Amino acid sequence: MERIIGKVSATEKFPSTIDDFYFWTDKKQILSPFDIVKVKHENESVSYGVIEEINHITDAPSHFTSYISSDFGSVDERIGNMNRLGMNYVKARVVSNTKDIYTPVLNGQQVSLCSEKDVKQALGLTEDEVKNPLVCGYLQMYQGEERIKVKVLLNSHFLIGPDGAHINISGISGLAAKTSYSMFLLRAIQNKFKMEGGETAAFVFFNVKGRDLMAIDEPNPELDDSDKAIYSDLGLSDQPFENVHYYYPYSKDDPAKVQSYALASDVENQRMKGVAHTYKFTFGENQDKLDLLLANEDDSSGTLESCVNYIINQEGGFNNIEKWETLKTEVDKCTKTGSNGGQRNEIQVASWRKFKRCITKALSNDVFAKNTVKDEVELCHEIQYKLKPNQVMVIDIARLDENTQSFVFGSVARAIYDLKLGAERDDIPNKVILFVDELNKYASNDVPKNSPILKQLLDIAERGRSLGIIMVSVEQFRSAIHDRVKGNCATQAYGRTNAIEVSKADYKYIPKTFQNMMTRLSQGEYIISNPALRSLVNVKFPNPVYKQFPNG
Amino acid sequence: MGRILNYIENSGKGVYHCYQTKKFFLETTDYDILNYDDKPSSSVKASKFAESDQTRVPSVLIKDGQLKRIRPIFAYFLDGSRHTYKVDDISIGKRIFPFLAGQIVVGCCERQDRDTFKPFRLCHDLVLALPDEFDYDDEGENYCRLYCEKINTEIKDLAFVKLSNLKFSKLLLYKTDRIDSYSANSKDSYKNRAVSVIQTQMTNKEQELVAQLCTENRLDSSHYLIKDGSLEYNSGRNKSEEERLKYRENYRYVVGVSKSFDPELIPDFEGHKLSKTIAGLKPHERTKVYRYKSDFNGEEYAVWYLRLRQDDFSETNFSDIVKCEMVILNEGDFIQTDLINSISANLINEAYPVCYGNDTRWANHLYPVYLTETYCKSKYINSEIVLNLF
Repeated sequence: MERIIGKVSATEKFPSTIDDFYFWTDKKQILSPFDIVKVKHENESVSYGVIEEINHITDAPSHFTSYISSDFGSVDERIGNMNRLGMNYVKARVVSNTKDIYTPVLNGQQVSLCSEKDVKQALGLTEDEVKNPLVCGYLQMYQGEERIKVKVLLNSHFLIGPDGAHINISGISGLAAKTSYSMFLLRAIQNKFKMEGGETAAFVFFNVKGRDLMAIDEPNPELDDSDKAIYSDLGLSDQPFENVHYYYPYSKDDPAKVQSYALASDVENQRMKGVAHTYKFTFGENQDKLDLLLANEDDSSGTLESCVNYIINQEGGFNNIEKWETLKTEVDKCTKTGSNGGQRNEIQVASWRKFKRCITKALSNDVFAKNTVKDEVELCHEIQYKLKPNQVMVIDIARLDENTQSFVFGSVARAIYDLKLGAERDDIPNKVILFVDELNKYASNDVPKNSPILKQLLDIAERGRSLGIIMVSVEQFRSAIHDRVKGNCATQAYGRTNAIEVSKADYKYIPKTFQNMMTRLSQGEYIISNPALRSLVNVKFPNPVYKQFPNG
Repeated sequence: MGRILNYIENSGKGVYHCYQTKKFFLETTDYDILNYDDKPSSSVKASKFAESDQTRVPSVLIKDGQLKRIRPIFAYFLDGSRHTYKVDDISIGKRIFPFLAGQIVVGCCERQDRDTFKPFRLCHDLVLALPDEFDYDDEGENYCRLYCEKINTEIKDLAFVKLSNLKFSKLLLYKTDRIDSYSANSKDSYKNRAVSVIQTQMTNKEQELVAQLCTENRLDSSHYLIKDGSLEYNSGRNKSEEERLKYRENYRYVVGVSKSFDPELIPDFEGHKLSKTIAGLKPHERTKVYRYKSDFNGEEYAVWYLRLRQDDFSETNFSDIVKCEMVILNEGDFIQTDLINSISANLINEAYPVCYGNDTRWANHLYPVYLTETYCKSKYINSEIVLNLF
């Protein structure tokens, strides 16, 4: 029998309800938000409650009483022969009842701490209850000898489909360890698919910061024994990702011929192992993606869109174009008036001039090349024909300018969508898991409504679950993300954030104490919400298994 | 008419008649027999000291050093209280008497350290107070005990009686042969006598509880008990010398602390009124300890008055002063002045924290006593439940 720590207190002002109850406990009993307690209920059932608020109260009706009690303002540590009578009262939210009895728990019932088994039962984490289990961290509760550690298992069907899909992770840069947690989950998913067989999954990651993800198949030399023990307890491998291929954007001038923060020697090593590739975009393969080049341009009057359609439809002089340079020349002709020898068409010259300005700037990057030679690849082609089950594609866009990043992201997302919609090959992975860092760049509330990338993301968010495209998205501020994108994410992970963020409407449903906790979460600590969980859960995860580059 | 009145009328076969007058809760303050915890003043001209230091000064200051370096000596705190209810008027023969019921709670709390304050023992009694005419055959104790059992049998099947395990523990008889000398209103004299027997029953319970503590060896020189109110009980009057000796021995480590007192109870060592000295006490100052012999029970007490705090914040000049009492074990004995000072310093320390905002008597209330009192009051059964038994 676990230790009894107090009794339920139902008063006129604070009654027990279906949803929550209060209990008193000794003022020295250490408890934390998210700790779970149990109470005996009717028909020999047990109700479990997750702690939301802890208040300390004394019999002093006012601060003035406290002041007088301190000998009229003395700051001595000890005054009198005893301390004022005080106790803690705790608000707990009912998470479950063993016999599904949800009438309010009764006044005077004993409240006790939980065993590991109880916690699993409370949250619906028992092996019997969680079908298709996927580890998403562990939770710790209580202090001292009573501390327990519980593996948090989620039904993967609610995480990566078909019952629920998409994961959204938010938190401030650095302190939240968003990338690390994403990689922890993704490595667990890769592990699961490899171990269980049956369905297959492939992974597409974008590296957006330094060399963060550019060595995810190399072990982390700093992973200590305690972390390894946690991986072992969780039933996870402490080895890095397997079957990883890296894709670097082409550069004319760089010694390694790539635009990347990765060291030339590292790239060379990866090339020797056959896992590094350089990608380019040729006009022939990408002319239908011209709209993605202009994704960040404000086009409220639709002038740019009409230019793009004109070119895609190969109207006027735009038929038979094979190179970006030719495209620029043809666009240039359209910007001239008839009197200056220009070609006349139904789009105004002013629109063409605007189009030219935008496209010239966008196409200045080296990735927009004439052709692909030797080992160079077309990203869309790679996805369409070479993305295999259990493979991880890491696409480096960290060093690209913002427009080109958007283009790369947009074309990859579109290629994945096309792959799942209509590619004709036998080994298409059942699920393609797309990891999108800095989601705010592509799906924030400020992105133009007609942005083709936003449309693409909305498509994935809304239809991806049925197609097997799962998005793991990461951003600093959840409140800045388009409602339809985050609304379609079944799983939310909240890392450390700031007080301004938690005051936004997105966090309204989260109890005040949990909101405040979000501003104090330590690195490697997350608050998770998932339809398969009966309550928000505070999870931790160990250090990453792959090589880290703390200095970028 | 409820169960008990019905039973009394039916079982009496015409001897008793219950009038079914209004049942109500008697406000304790309105019907207290005495205004002060003290009994009426004795007629001594000049008081004698009861402490070992015989210096003829009006007051003694408890120094800050004494306050800070002492270890708490009080470990137990006792409080008794009672509620009284007028449940009916009953006619016996040609006379009508008030019929009262009482609810007595006597509780003792124990303090183990600064943060551990727990209930130690509780006594909760329901009693009936009827005129002695009720026992018309003069059968005495036995009659009362049997009648009380019969009433308990009569009510035992009531749902709320079962639920709360209610039981009357005693039927008390009040005297009806002469009018009480200190009753202001003769109309209420029977009622006051009924209240008085209930009060006596409460003080008996207090003494029993102290006796239990002594039997269990709980009280010693480092585990004193504070009793809320005076130690001067009425009930000692008819006790044998052996019983009185036992009483004194039991109270060796007990200090009675009264918040309300008659400042003119005893004169000072010069025969002047002590009230002037009491009013003039400076913060943390006490009067000399005086010997006081009770006219009521013949016991000797050591009495002194102590100002607990700085008087700037007090409502009146007396509101932060307590009257302290100890039983003198053998007539003529002196209590060591060091012990008196140590007890006084402890009492000053017990005054913090304060119950300001919760109790108007906060200035001279001792916090652990306040907690004990609150605990006892929390144990009262709802008055409506008690009244509905009748």
